[in-house]
Amino acid sequence: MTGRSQKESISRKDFIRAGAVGAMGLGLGLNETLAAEQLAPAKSPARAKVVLVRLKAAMTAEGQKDAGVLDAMLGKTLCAYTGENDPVAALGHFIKPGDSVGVKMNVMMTPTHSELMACLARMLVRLGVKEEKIIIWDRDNAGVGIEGAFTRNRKYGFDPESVSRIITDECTALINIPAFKSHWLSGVGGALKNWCGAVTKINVRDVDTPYPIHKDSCADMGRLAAIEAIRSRFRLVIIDALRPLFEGGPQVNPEYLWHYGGLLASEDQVAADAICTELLTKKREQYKGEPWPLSPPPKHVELADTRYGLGVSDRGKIDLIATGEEKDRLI
Amino acid sequence: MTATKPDKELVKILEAPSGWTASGFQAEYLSHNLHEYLNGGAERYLGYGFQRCLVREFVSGSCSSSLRVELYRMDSPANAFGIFSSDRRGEKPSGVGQDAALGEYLLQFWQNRYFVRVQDMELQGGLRQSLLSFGRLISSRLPDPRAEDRPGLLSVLPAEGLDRSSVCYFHTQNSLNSLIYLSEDNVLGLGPETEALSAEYKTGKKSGIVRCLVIRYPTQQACRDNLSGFSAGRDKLAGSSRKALAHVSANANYLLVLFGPCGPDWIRRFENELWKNI
Repeated sequence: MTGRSQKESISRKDFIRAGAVGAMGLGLGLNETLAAEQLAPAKSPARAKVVLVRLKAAMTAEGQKDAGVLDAMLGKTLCAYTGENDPVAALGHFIKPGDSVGVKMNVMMTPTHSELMACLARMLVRLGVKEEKIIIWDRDNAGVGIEGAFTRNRKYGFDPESVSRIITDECTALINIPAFKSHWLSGVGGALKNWCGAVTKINVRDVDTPYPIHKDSCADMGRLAAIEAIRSRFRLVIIDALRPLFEGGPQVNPEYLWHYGGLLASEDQVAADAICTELLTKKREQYKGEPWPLSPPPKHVELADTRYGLGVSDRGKIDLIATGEEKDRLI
Repeated sequence: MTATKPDKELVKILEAPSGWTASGFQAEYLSHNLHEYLNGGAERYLGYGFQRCLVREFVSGSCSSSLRVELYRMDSPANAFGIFSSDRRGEKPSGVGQDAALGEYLLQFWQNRYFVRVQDMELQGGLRQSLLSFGRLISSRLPDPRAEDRPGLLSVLPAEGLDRSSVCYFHTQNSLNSLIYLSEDNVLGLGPETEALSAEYKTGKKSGIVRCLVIRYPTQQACRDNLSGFSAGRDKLAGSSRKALAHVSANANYLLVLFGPCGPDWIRRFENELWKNI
């Protein structure tokens, strides 16, 4: 794990060095996994760190992706977060070769880009994770290995608590990889909201559900990330901000899609969502030329911190390491 | 997805204009499974009396472009207008529906009790004419528009200073929250039985827009109760809404709430005009 006390500034030289996608192995012991108790904080940490890397060339304005650029970008993101020079070594801060890794993507309306997930799956394989131990999924549609980035027709079902069996029975580690958007019901759809697709029996009217999260603009969304099976296995969030949606959502009016070309990473899902909220707020103001607050406000981000201790929502306590293209970075 | 078997009548409405053919993707959704298509976005439609949705995709002759058409049938023309009014950014082309909004990649329109979206799936642009061709063909196959299709409540809004493109017709607290967030509680007693409008007005001053909410309750008693409840709970409103709140009043079963920079004279004139219209 990356220690909270780790030096958080990265020199330009280090960053450029980190850009090269590199080594194949890390010398980590096979079957080594991180103990769940190490990963389940009782309360939010004092500070959090989020990395933002921007490279608009990763995708054209029309949405065509460049897998090579995406791979390098993902590597830079992980290196910038960990201070490593090698992306695979950086990924090794969160995942061990012996882990079974669940990659929770989002398939709805503004889905996580498949090419990005394929880059992550390839990197996991380079780290030493067995390909059959990588499950990429949303809801009950799962795929295995690198191919899982593109094809997901396996069903694992849900446990008696309505949590995906991929989490409870298959995985030792979870990577959350949503695409972020404004959201009609919750203000922002990012890391915390992505766990909606990891449980079943939820409904907008909160009828007969173990997870009544929708009241008051989904204020209690943090309840999902706080499910022990999720909380204890969660290692890293990578947010696909290649082309976010800044108004409406989840249904897309393409007028509000925005070629931002960004990736964000953090071990703190709340902090990542707080940064996304700030970014959306600034984009909306830029678009309208005047303040255009998110409505409803994403109350769930702060409550995930104060109610569930899932991470840091106070922007003043989040160290943002932003790198890559500066034009229109906004934050 | 567990899409419902498509309704043949709806499929007929969604046939392709010249130069386009239906691709393999076709699905229909009802209220119980619309979330499989729209996830949290389904609630937006359910709040407008959603009944069915047919989705079909089409490809151009060269297969270089694809369009997705969504045909939503609501329970009433007023609700088809309502869902359209919640996002109507774009040009206003003629000959398509009762109101339409055309952007670079998306055409939306409503007609009778139908709401239609035609979207360029590749987002490569250059398909405006095709979006319009689809729209006009679909429009020609839908029931004819009638003057009474628009919600009657629209007629109460004073015309002076009104930004017509800002008018949104709705019923639920979730819809209100997406326009302006007031409180975690349903402080205005919104629901399927209430009709509400949000509209923006320019007051003539250089700065600021006034947002007007007009709510029609099923009974005068319901209106009075909600006026009392809202007035008593003002201090529980979200900070930005509490600061912006300028005026609350009621007449018969209509409640008026104003937010933003407006002085007493403007409020008096506005209110008089509104009450005259009810």
